[in-house]
Amino acid sequence: MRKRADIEVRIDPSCEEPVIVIRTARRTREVEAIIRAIEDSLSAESPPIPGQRGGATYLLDQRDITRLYVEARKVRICSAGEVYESGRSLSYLEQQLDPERFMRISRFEIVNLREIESFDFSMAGTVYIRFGDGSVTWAARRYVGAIHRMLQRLSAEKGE
Amino acid sequence: MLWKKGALYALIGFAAGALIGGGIHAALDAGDGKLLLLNLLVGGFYGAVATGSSVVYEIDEWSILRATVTHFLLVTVLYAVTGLSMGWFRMDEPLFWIIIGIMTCGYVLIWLIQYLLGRRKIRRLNEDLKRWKGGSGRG
Repeated sequence: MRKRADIEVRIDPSCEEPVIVIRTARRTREVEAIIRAIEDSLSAESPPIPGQRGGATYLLDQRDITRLYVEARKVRICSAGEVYESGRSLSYLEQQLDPERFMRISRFEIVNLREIESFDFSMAGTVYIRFGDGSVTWAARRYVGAIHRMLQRLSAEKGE
Repeated sequence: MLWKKGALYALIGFAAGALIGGGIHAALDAGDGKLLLLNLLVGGFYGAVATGSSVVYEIDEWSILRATVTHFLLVTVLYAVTGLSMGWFRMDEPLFWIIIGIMTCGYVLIWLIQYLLGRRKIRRLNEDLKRWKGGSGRG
């Protein structure tokens, strides 16, 4: 039997931006698919990022990218546990990335904020970022303020 | 550009250092105009290096500890070399070692304050992250 969902649109002049509420008893696979479809539609302006690995070019979904960094003068992209190379500069890729999701943390690296697990500060005074996949990188201290403001803005938006 | 910033700092430091060098010259009543010029130049050079090299704190890849130790060594060694060669101090004078001690304490304090401030900022970042993620997970 084909599964279907009722779609109800309420016109509310007080909502300047659309608010999407999904009413469900459980977070099922279908619900996840709906969320993904809505996110895809909202992030239509976030194009996939091309990355090369083993002679092939892959189009990487921005949501799967953990970080983009410069190593040995080459831009590398960590996505879903794999490392890809890009012929583009980090600055160019920064323009393509979703600014609500990605943030520069040093001259050499841009990270996906949603993939960050925690921040650490060593005795030597280095800021470390730990990701959900277990990888660790460092951030320049001068970017800490910007990260703080970004996280505050994102949590304020989420709380609205 | 870090080197441009360093050059600007060095210029300001040169002026301040030359002023201090001239002050020391006057205080020690060190004599002729040639020596005054030398004191001004050496004082200026010391000031330029001390302030210009403070840009090490802005090098992205350097930790606070590395920047502090580098700046401390530069400033202290240069202080000893210029001070002793110009006759501002002698190594057997307690003042020389008192100043070295004060500089060491100063740099330890700089590191400690920066470390504590940094740790507080990181604690806030983790709180922000926790608040933002609060159940939203990956999306």
